[in-house]
Amino acid sequence: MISLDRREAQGITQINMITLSHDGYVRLTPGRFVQVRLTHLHSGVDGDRPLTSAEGATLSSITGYTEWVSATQPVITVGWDWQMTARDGQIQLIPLGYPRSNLMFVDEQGNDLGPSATEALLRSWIESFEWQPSVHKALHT
Amino acid sequence: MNVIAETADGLPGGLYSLTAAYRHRVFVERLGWQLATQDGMERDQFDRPDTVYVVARGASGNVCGCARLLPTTRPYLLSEVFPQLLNGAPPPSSPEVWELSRFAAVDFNANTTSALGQFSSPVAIRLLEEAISCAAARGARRLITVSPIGVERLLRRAGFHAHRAGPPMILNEQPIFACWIEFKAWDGTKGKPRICHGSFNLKGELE
Repeated sequence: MISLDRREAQGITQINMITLSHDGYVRLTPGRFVQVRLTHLHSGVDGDRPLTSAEGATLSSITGYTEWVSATQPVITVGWDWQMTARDGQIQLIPLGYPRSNLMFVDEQGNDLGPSATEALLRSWIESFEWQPSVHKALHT
Repeated sequence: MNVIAETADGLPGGLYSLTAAYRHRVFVERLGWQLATQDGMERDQFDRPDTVYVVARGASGNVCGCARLLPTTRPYLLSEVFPQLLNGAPPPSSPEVWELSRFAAVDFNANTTSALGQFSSPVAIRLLEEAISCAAARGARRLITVSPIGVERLLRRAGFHAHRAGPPMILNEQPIFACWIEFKAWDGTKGKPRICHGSFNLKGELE
């Protein structure tokens, strides 16, 4: 179990040991990452097309993107694409492709896991993360 | 398609003006960016004698793509206008780092191309490859770019090693961001990389 030392300072949640590397990456272990709360920043539909004008298109042709950020300093940023689909009579959003971020996951010894492994782990995290309601809400406001 | 990379003085006659007019059509008219314009052309304080332009032209000579390269040893867009995109890091200043900005690949002769969907086109990939080649020839080892986030898809699809320098910022209802583009493939910067296949469990531990 990883223990974290959180403190509130001027409205910003700071978590010890999250630092910005010289190459622009935020390096941390996957275990520490899942303790950081990400909030919805922005979502949109691809192709200059507002969702309301997409009526008549097949659901699977509607794709978009979503952006999430942490309240930490430095900020962790993760974004990914999604595709609209129907499942069990419900309109759902499913993640598409690989996520994009400023993260480089490291092991407990501080060794980089690499971009591919980081993307794969982020994708796994997205699968377990309830992001769809925020995107639905953003697309309809 | 023909791609040329030169300073304004080195571009063929009239091409600089065509490029400035093209930038106006893409960034001002289609994307709605609020930029300084004059006589239907878009240019700013970073369009200088040392600025390098990468311009793609179609078969009929029309401009169908452009990008702008600036050395970070002099003022550039990210350092002067958008330093907040760097996540608290100081703007780079090195002959090995050049900035890529005003990247566009909209072919106005192809009616189906949208301004935001431009980043998936072969023109975009060729333009980016030429920009990297041009910057490398001038001593760059990395590019930093201020772009719409759609550029990330292009970078990913084209197989470049690129990652965000910080979180996106919403400008004119469109997210823009700063992104590092590495010329070398990733080889591990903090120790030996290892292959990792895993997933998170509920405790956030690797399995």
